[in-house]
Amino acid sequence: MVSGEAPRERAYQGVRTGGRSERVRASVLSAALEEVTRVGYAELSMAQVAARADVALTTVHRRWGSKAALVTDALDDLLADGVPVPDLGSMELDFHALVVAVVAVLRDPAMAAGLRAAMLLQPADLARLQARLGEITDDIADLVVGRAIDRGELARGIDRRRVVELLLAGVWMRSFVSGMTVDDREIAAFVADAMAAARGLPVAA
Amino acid sequence: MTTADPTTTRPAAMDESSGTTRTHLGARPGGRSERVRAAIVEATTAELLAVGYAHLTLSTVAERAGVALSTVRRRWETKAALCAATIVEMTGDAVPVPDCGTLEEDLRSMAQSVFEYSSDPAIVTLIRTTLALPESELTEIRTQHWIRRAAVAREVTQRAIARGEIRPQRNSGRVVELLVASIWMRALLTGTPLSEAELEAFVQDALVAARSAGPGSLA
Repeated sequence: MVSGEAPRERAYQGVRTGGRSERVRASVLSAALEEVTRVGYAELSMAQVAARADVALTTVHRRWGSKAALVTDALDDLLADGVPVPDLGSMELDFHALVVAVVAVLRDPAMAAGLRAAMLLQPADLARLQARLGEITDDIADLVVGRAIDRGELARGIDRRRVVELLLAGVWMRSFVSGMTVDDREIAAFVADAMAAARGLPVAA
Repeated sequence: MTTADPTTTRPAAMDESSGTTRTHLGARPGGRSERVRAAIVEATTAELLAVGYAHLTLSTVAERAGVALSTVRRRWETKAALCAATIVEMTGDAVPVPDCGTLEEDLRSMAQSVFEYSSDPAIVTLIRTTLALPESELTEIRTQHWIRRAAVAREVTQRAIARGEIRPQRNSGRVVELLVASIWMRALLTGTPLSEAELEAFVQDALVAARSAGPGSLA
Protein backbone atom coordinates (compact mmCIF):
# COMPACT_ATOMS: atom_id res chain seq x y z
CA MET A 1 0.00 0.00 0.00
CA VAL A 2 1.20 3.41 -0.88
CA SER A 3 1.06 6.06 1.79
CA GLY A 4 -1.20 9.00 1.16
CA GLU A 5 -3.91 6.93 -0.48
CA ALA A 6 -7.10 5.43 0.81
CA PRO A 7 -6.61 1.79 1.78
CA ARG A 8 -7.18 -0.45 -1.19
CA GLU A 9 -10.31 -2.51 -0.90
CA ARG A 10 -9.77 -6.20 -0.51
CA ALA A 11 -12.02 -8.83 -1.93
CA TYR A 12 -12.53 -11.47 0.73
CA GLN A 13 -15.49 -13.24 -0.77
CA GLY A 14 -17.93 -11.27 1.34
CA VAL A 15 -16.12 -11.71 4.63
CA ARG A 16 -16.33 -8.68 6.89
CA THR A 17 -13.08 -7.31 8.22
CA GLY A 18 -12.79 -7.88 11.94
CA GLY A 19 -15.14 -10.88 12.15
CA ARG A 20 -14.13 -14.29 13.38
CA SER A 21 -13.70 -15.47 9.84
CA GLU A 22 -11.30 -12.63 9.15
CA ARG A 23 -9.33 -13.40 12.32
CA VAL A 24 -8.96 -17.00 11.19
CA ARG A 25 -7.84 -15.83 7.79
CA ALA A 26 -5.26 -13.46 9.23
CA SER A 27 -3.83 -16.04 11.60
CA VAL A 28 -3.64 -18.74 8.90
CA LEU A 29 -1.90 -16.40 6.45
CA SER A 30 0.50 -15.25 9.10
CA ALA A 31 1.23 -18.87 10.03
CA ALA A 32 1.74 -19.70 6.36
CA LEU A 33 4.37 -16.98 6.06
CA GLU A 34 6.13 -18.14 9.20
CA GLU A 35 6.16 -21.72 7.97
CA VAL A 36 7.34 -20.87 4.47
CA THR A 37 10.09 -18.75 6.02
CA ARG A 38 11.09 -21.65 8.22
CA VAL A 39 11.01 -24.56 5.78
CA GLY A 40 10.62 -23.11 2.26
CA TYR A 41 7.83 -23.77 -0.20
CA ALA A 42 8.85 -27.29 -1.15
CA GLU A 43 8.56 -28.50 2.43
CA LEU A 44 5.57 -26.36 3.38
CA SER A 45 2.74 -28.46 4.78
CA MET A 46 -0.84 -27.29 5.25
CA ALA A 47 -1.08 -29.41 8.39
CA GLN A 48 1.84 -27.51 9.94
CA VAL A 49 0.25 -24.21 8.98
CA ALA A 50 -3.05 -25.25 10.56
CA ALA A 51 -1.27 -26.35 13.72
CA ARG A 52 0.67 -23.10 13.98
CA ALA A 53 -2.49 -21.05 13.39
CA ASP A 54 -4.36 -23.25 15.88
CA VAL A 55 -7.20 -23.96 13.46
CA ALA A 56 -8.50 -27.25 12.06
CA LEU A 57 -6.77 -28.56 8.95
CA THR A 58 -10.19 -28.88 7.30
CA THR A 59 -10.69 -25.13 7.75
CA VAL A 60 -7.45 -24.42 5.91
CA HIS A 61 -8.32 -26.89 3.15
CA ARG A 62 -11.83 -25.52 2.77
CA ARG A 63 -10.68 -21.93 2.35
CA TRP A 64 -7.52 -22.36 0.33
CA GLY A 65 -7.57 -25.77 -1.28
CA SER A 66 -3.84 -25.84 -1.97
CA LYS A 67 -0.65 -24.52 -0.54
CA ALA A 68 -0.18 -22.51 -3.73
CA ALA A 69 -3.43 -20.65 -3.05
CA LEU A 70 -2.42 -20.17 0.56
CA VAL A 71 1.00 -18.75 -0.25
CA THR A 72 -0.42 -16.56 -3.01
CA ASP A 73 -2.93 -15.02 -0.58
CA ALA A 74 -0.31 -14.53 2.11
CA LEU A 75 2.15 -12.86 -0.24
CA ASP A 76 -0.57 -10.76 -1.83
CA ASP A 77 -1.44 -9.38 1.61
CA LEU A 78 2.20 -8.76 2.41
CA LEU A 79 2.75 -6.94 -0.88
CA ALA A 80 -0.40 -4.89 -0.32
CA ASP A 81 1.30 -3.43 2.74
CA GLY A 82 3.97 -2.48 0.27
CA VAL A 83 6.72 0.03 0.26
CA PRO A 84 6.63 3.49 1.82
CA VAL A 85 6.79 6.08 -0.94
CA PRO A 86 9.08 9.00 -0.09
CA ASP A 87 8.38 12.67 -0.82
CA LEU A 88 11.59 14.45 0.13
CA GLY A 89 11.69 17.30 -2.37
CA SER A 90 14.24 16.07 -4.91
CA MET A 91 14.58 13.20 -7.34
CA GLU A 92 17.87 12.09 -5.85
CA LEU A 93 16.57 12.02 -2.26
CA ASP A 94 13.33 10.29 -3.27
CA PHE A 95 15.07 7.70 -5.45
CA HIS A 96 17.63 6.99 -2.77
CA ALA A 97 14.99 6.60 -0.05
CA LEU A 98 12.95 4.35 -2.29
CA VAL A 99 15.86 2.03 -3.05
CA VAL A 100 16.78 1.88 0.64
CA ALA A 101 13.17 0.98 1.47
CA VAL A 102 13.01 -1.72 -1.20
CA VAL A 103 16.30 -3.24 -0.07
CA ALA A 104 14.88 -3.36 3.46
CA VAL A 105 11.66 -4.99 2.25
CA LEU A 106 13.64 -7.60 0.31
CA ARG A 107 15.67 -8.33 3.43
CA ASP A 108 12.54 -8.97 5.45
CA PRO A 109 12.60 -12.75 6.04
CA ALA A 110 8.88 -13.25 5.44
CA MET A 111 8.91 -11.20 2.24
CA ALA A 112 12.04 -12.97 0.98
CA ALA A 113 10.56 -16.38 1.74
CA GLY A 114 7.23 -15.43 0.16
CA LEU A 115 8.89 -14.20 -3.02
CA ARG A 116 11.02 -17.33 -3.16
CA ALA A 117 7.92 -19.47 -2.81
CA ALA A 118 6.28 -17.46 -5.61
CA MET A 119 8.99 -18.71 -7.96
CA LEU A 120 7.28 -22.12 -7.93
CA LEU A 121 3.70 -20.95 -8.39
CA GLN A 122 1.70 -21.96 -11.44
CA PRO A 123 0.84 -19.26 -14.00
CA ALA A 124 -2.62 -18.33 -12.61
CA ASP A 125 -1.41 -17.65 -9.07
CA LEU A 126 1.76 -16.02 -10.34
CA ALA A 127 -0.28 -13.71 -12.58
CA ARG A 128 -2.22 -12.47 -9.56
CA LEU A 129 0.99 -11.57 -7.73
CA GLN A 130 2.43 -9.98 -10.84
CA ALA A 131 -0.68 -7.83 -11.17
CA ARG A 132 -0.13 -6.71 -7.58
CA LEU A 133 3.52 -5.89 -8.34
CA GLY A 134 2.34 -3.96 -11.39
CA GLU A 135 0.01 -1.87 -9.20
CA ILE A 136 2.82 -1.13 -6.78
CA THR A 137 5.13 -0.16 -9.65
CA ASP A 138 2.47 2.13 -11.11
CA ASP A 139 1.88 3.79 -7.73
CA ILE A 140 5.60 4.48 -7.37
CA ALA A 141 5.85 5.65 -10.97
CA ASP A 142 2.92 8.05 -10.57
CA LEU A 143 4.08 9.49 -7.26
CA VAL A 144 7.88 9.48 -7.25
CA VAL A 145 8.61 9.76 -10.96
CA GLY A 146 5.59 12.02 -11.43
CA ARG A 147 6.91 14.46 -8.86
CA ALA A 148 10.38 14.45 -10.47
CA ILE A 149 8.70 15.34 -13.77
CA ASP A 150 6.62 18.07 -12.09
CA ARG A 151 9.80 19.56 -10.62
CA GLY A 152 11.38 19.55 -14.08
CA GLU A 153 14.02 16.99 -13.13
CA LEU A 154 12.86 14.49 -15.75
CA ALA A 155 11.18 15.04 -19.10
CA ARG A 156 7.43 14.81 -19.47
CA GLY A 157 6.45 11.93 -21.73
CA ILE A 158 9.10 9.42 -20.63
CA ASP A 159 8.13 5.88 -19.69
CA ARG A 160 7.60 6.26 -15.93
CA ARG A 161 7.43 2.53 -15.29
CA ARG A 162 10.81 2.10 -16.93
CA VAL A 163 12.31 4.61 -14.51
CA VAL A 164 11.11 2.48 -11.59
CA GLU A 165 12.54 -0.59 -13.28
CA LEU A 166 15.91 1.15 -13.78
CA LEU A 167 15.91 2.12 -10.14
CA LEU A 168 15.00 -1.24 -8.65
CA ALA A 169 16.23 -3.95 -11.05
CA GLY A 170 19.86 -3.86 -9.91
CA VAL A 171 19.15 -4.05 -6.20
CA TRP A 172 16.46 -6.68 -6.72
CA MET A 173 18.96 -8.77 -8.66
CA ARG A 174 21.58 -8.38 -5.93
CA SER A 175 19.23 -9.03 -3.04
CA PHE A 176 17.02 -11.73 -4.46
CA VAL A 177 18.95 -13.47 -7.22
CA SER A 178 22.69 -13.18 -6.89
CA GLY A 179 22.84 -12.77 -3.12
CA MET A 180 25.62 -10.22 -3.49
CA THR A 181 25.66 -7.49 -0.92
CA VAL A 182 24.31 -4.00 -1.54
CA ASP A 183 25.93 -1.52 0.80
CA ASP A 184 25.15 2.19 1.14
CA ARG A 185 27.84 3.20 -1.31
CA GLU A 186 26.47 0.85 -3.94
CA ILE A 187 22.92 1.97 -3.36
CA ALA A 188 24.09 5.52 -4.10
CA ALA A 189 25.86 4.25 -7.22
CA PHE A 190 22.78 2.37 -8.48
CA VAL A 191 20.70 5.50 -7.88
CA ALA A 192 23.19 7.67 -9.80
CA ASP A 193 23.16 5.23 -12.74
CA ALA A 194 19.36 5.06 -12.74
CA MET A 195 19.11 8.87 -12.70
CA ALA A 196 21.55 9.17 -15.59
CA ALA A 197 19.62 6.60 -17.60
CA ALA A 198 16.27 8.19 -16.68
CA ARG A 199 17.48 11.58 -17.91
CA GLY A 200 18.42 9.96 -21.21
CA LEU A 201 15.09 8.17 -21.76
CA PRO A 202 13.35 9.00 -25.01
CA VAL A 203 10.21 11.13 -24.86
CA ALA A 204 7.10 9.63 -26.41
CA ALA A 205 5.86 11.62 -29.41
CA MET B 1 31.10 -28.80 -5.46
CA THR B 2 33.47 -27.25 -3.06
CA THR B 3 32.76 -23.53 -3.13
CA ALA B 4 31.13 -23.40 0.24
CA ASP B 5 32.76 -20.25 1.54
CA PRO B 6 29.95 -17.69 1.68
CA THR B 7 32.43 -14.83 1.81
CA THR B 8 33.10 -15.35 -1.89
CA THR B 9 29.62 -14.02 -2.61
CA ARG B 10 30.94 -10.56 -1.83
CA PRO B 11 31.40 -8.24 -4.78
CA ALA B 12 35.15 -8.42 -4.30
CA ALA B 13 34.99 -11.80 -5.99
CA MET B 14 34.04 -9.96 -9.17
CA ASP B 15 37.70 -9.13 -9.54
CA GLU B 16 38.32 -12.65 -10.68
CA SER B 17 38.30 -12.67 -14.43
CA SER B 18 37.91 -16.42 -14.68
CA GLY B 19 34.59 -15.91 -16.36
CA THR B 20 34.32 -19.29 -18.00
CA THR B 21 36.73 -21.41 -16.02
CA ARG B 22 35.17 -24.43 -14.43
CA THR B 23 36.31 -26.28 -11.39
CA HIS B 24 35.47 -29.89 -11.82
CA LEU B 25 37.60 -31.31 -9.08
CA GLY B 26 40.17 -32.65 -11.49
CA ALA B 27 37.78 -34.48 -13.78
CA ARG B 28 39.40 -34.76 -17.20
CA PRO B 29 37.18 -33.72 -20.08
CA GLY B 30 36.27 -36.73 -22.17
CA GLY B 31 37.31 -39.27 -19.54
CA ARG B 32 34.98 -41.79 -17.94
CA SER B 33 34.70 -39.65 -14.87
CA GLU B 34 33.57 -36.72 -16.99
CA ARG B 35 31.04 -38.87 -18.84
CA VAL B 36 29.55 -40.05 -15.57
CA ARG B 37 29.40 -36.50 -14.36
CA ALA B 38 27.67 -35.36 -17.56
CA ALA B 39 25.12 -38.18 -17.28
CA ILE B 40 24.31 -37.25 -13.69
CA VAL B 41 23.92 -33.59 -14.56
CA GLU B 42 21.68 -34.44 -17.49
CA ALA B 43 19.57 -36.73 -15.32
CA THR B 44 19.29 -34.05 -12.64
CA THR B 45 18.10 -31.52 -15.20
CA ALA B 46 15.48 -33.95 -16.48
CA GLU B 47 14.31 -34.76 -12.96
CA LEU B 48 14.15 -31.10 -11.94
CA LEU B 49 11.98 -30.34 -14.94
CA ALA B 50 9.86 -33.45 -14.49
CA VAL B 51 9.16 -33.54 -10.75
CA GLY B 52 10.65 -30.34 -9.32
CA TYR B 53 13.13 -29.86 -6.54
CA ALA B 54 10.79 -31.00 -3.79
CA HIS B 55 10.36 -34.49 -5.20
CA LEU B 56 13.80 -34.97 -6.67
CA THR B 57 15.90 -37.58 -4.89
CA LEU B 58 19.49 -38.69 -5.38
CA SER B 59 18.20 -42.23 -6.04
CA THR B 60 15.91 -41.23 -8.91
CA VAL B 61 18.75 -39.21 -10.41
CA ALA B 62 21.11 -42.16 -10.11
CA GLU B 63 18.54 -44.45 -11.70
CA ARG B 64 17.91 -42.08 -14.60
CA ALA B 65 21.66 -41.58 -15.13
CA GLY B 66 22.28 -45.34 -15.03
CA VAL B 67 24.85 -45.08 -12.24
CA ALA B 68 25.00 -46.36 -8.68
CA LEU B 69 23.56 -44.17 -5.95
CA SER B 70 26.96 -44.26 -4.24
CA THR B 71 28.52 -42.73 -7.37
CA VAL B 72 26.19 -39.73 -7.10
CA ARG B 73 26.72 -39.49 -3.33
CA ARG B 74 30.49 -39.52 -3.66
CA ARG B 75 30.37 -36.40 -5.83
CA TRP B 76 27.45 -34.57 -4.28
CA GLU B 77 26.46 -35.25 -0.72
CA THR B 78 23.22 -33.33 -0.81
CA LYS B 79 20.38 -32.67 -3.19
CA ALA B 80 21.11 -28.93 -2.90
CA ALA B 81 24.74 -29.39 -3.92
CA LEU B 82 23.74 -31.60 -6.85
CA CYS B 83 21.16 -29.13 -8.11
CA ALA B 84 23.60 -26.26 -7.65
CA ALA B 85 26.19 -28.04 -9.76
CA THR B 86 23.57 -28.83 -12.36
CA ILE B 87 22.38 -25.30 -12.82
CA VAL B 88 25.96 -24.09 -13.08
CA GLU B 89 26.69 -26.75 -15.66
CA MET B 90 23.53 -26.04 -17.62
CA THR B 91 24.11 -22.32 -17.74
CA GLY B 92 27.89 -22.11 -17.81
CA ASP B 93 28.35 -21.29 -21.48
CA ALA B 94 24.97 -19.82 -22.23
CA VAL B 95 26.15 -16.25 -21.96
CA PRO B 96 29.65 -16.03 -23.46
CA VAL B 97 31.87 -13.02 -22.84
CA PRO B 98 31.38 -10.81 -25.88
CA ASP B 99 34.32 -8.92 -27.37
CA CYS B 100 32.84 -7.04 -30.30
CA GLY B 101 35.11 -3.99 -30.23
CA THR B 102 32.72 -1.45 -28.74
CA LEU B 103 30.86 -1.25 -25.45
CA GLU B 104 27.60 -0.76 -27.30
CA GLU B 105 28.04 -3.96 -29.32
CA ASP B 106 29.18 -5.89 -26.27
CA LEU B 107 26.14 -4.76 -24.29
CA ARG B 108 23.84 -5.58 -27.20
CA SER B 109 25.36 -9.02 -27.51
CA MET B 110 24.93 -9.68 -23.79
CA ALA B 111 21.37 -8.38 -23.83
CA GLN B 112 20.54 -10.71 -26.70
CA SER B 113 22.12 -13.72 -24.99
CA VAL B 114 20.42 -13.08 -21.67
CA PHE B 115 17.11 -12.44 -23.44
CA GLU B 116 17.29 -15.74 -25.33
CA TYR B 117 18.38 -17.54 -22.24
CA SER B 118 15.60 -15.99 -20.11
CA SER B 119 13.07 -16.98 -22.78
CA ASP B 120 13.96 -20.68 -22.56
CA PRO B 121 11.28 -22.34 -20.39
CA ALA B 122 13.64 -25.07 -19.18
CA ILE B 123 16.29 -22.58 -18.09
CA VAL B 124 13.70 -20.37 -16.39
CA THR B 125 12.29 -23.39 -14.55
CA LEU B 126 15.76 -24.37 -13.35
CA ILE B 127 16.50 -20.87 -12.14
CA ARG B 128 13.11 -20.51 -10.45
CA THR B 129 13.75 -23.81 -8.73
CA THR B 130 17.03 -22.62 -7.32
CA LEU B 131 15.57 -19.25 -6.31
CA ALA B 132 12.79 -21.00 -4.41
CA LEU B 133 15.21 -22.82 -2.13
CA PRO B 134 15.45 -21.56 1.44
CA GLU B 135 18.27 -19.11 2.05
CA SER B 136 20.64 -21.62 3.61
CA GLU B 137 20.69 -23.84 0.53
CA LEU B 138 21.21 -20.97 -1.87
CA THR B 139 24.73 -19.96 -1.04
CA GLU B 140 26.48 -22.40 -3.29
CA ILE B 141 24.32 -21.68 -6.30
CA ARG B 142 24.76 -17.97 -5.95
CA THR B 143 28.49 -18.27 -5.46
CA GLN B 144 29.09 -20.31 -8.54
CA HIS B 145 26.50 -19.06 -10.94
CA TRP B 146 26.02 -15.32 -10.47
CA ILE B 147 29.50 -14.34 -9.38
CA ARG B 148 30.71 -15.73 -12.67
CA ARG B 149 28.24 -13.48 -14.44
CA ALA B 150 29.53 -10.52 -12.49
CA ALA B 151 33.07 -11.36 -13.59
CA VAL B 152 31.91 -11.38 -17.21
CA ALA B 153 30.32 -7.99 -16.70
CA ARG B 154 33.55 -6.58 -15.40
CA GLU B 155 35.57 -7.84 -18.35
CA VAL B 156 33.27 -5.92 -20.66
CA THR B 157 33.60 -2.64 -18.76
CA GLN B 158 37.35 -3.09 -18.37
CA ARG B 159 37.79 -3.35 -22.12
CA ALA B 160 35.60 -0.27 -22.63
CA ILE B 161 37.85 1.62 -20.20
CA ALA B 162 40.96 0.42 -22.03
CA ARG B 163 39.48 1.73 -25.30
CA GLY B 164 38.73 5.06 -23.64
CA GLU B 165 34.96 4.70 -24.08
CA ILE B 166 34.14 5.18 -20.42
CA ARG B 167 35.93 6.65 -17.45
CA PRO B 168 38.27 4.47 -15.37
CA GLN B 169 36.05 4.93 -12.30
CA ARG B 170 33.34 2.96 -14.15
CA ASN B 171 35.41 -0.13 -13.50
CA SER B 172 32.48 -2.08 -12.15
CA GLY B 173 29.98 -4.60 -13.35
CA ARG B 174 27.14 -2.35 -12.25
CA VAL B 175 26.26 -0.96 -15.66
CA VAL B 176 25.96 -4.45 -17.07
CA GLU B 177 24.03 -5.51 -13.98
CA LEU B 178 21.53 -2.75 -14.71
CA LEU B 179 20.98 -4.21 -18.17
CA VAL B 180 20.92 -7.85 -17.17
CA ALA B 181 18.79 -7.23 -14.08
CA SER B 182 16.12 -5.44 -16.12
CA ILE B 183 15.80 -8.48 -18.36
CA TRP B 184 15.74 -10.98 -15.52
CA MET B 185 13.30 -8.93 -13.46
CA ARG B 186 10.81 -9.20 -16.31
CA ALA B 187 11.38 -12.91 -16.82
CA LEU B 188 11.41 -13.97 -13.18
CA LEU B 189 9.42 -11.42 -11.23
CA THR B 190 7.08 -9.03 -13.00
CA GLY B 191 6.28 -11.12 -16.07
CA THR B 192 6.02 -7.98 -18.19
CA PRO B 193 6.69 -9.06 -21.80
CA LEU B 194 9.89 -7.79 -23.35
CA SER B 195 10.00 -6.82 -27.04
CA GLU B 196 13.09 -6.57 -29.23
CA ALA B 197 12.60 -2.80 -29.36
CA GLU B 198 12.59 -2.61 -25.56
CA LEU B 199 15.65 -4.79 -25.38
CA GLU B 200 17.49 -2.30 -27.60
CA ALA B 201 16.18 0.52 -25.40
CA PHE B 202 17.63 -1.31 -22.38
CA VAL B 203 21.01 -1.36 -24.13
CA GLN B 204 20.82 2.38 -24.73
CA ASP B 205 19.84 2.99 -21.10
CA ALA B 206 22.87 1.04 -19.92
CA LEU B 207 25.13 2.94 -22.33
CA VAL B 208 23.87 6.28 -21.06
CA ALA B 209 24.51 5.15 -17.49
CA ALA B 210 27.98 3.84 -18.41
CA ARG B 211 28.97 7.13 -20.02
CA SER B 212 27.63 9.22 -17.14
CA ALA B 213 29.98 10.57 -14.52
CA GLY B 214 28.91 8.00 -11.96
CA PRO B 215 28.18 8.31 -8.28
CA GLY B 216 29.43 11.29 -6.36
CA SER B 217 29.74 13.47 -9.44
CA LEU B 218 26.12 14.53 -9.50
CA ALA B 219 25.45 17.67 -7.57
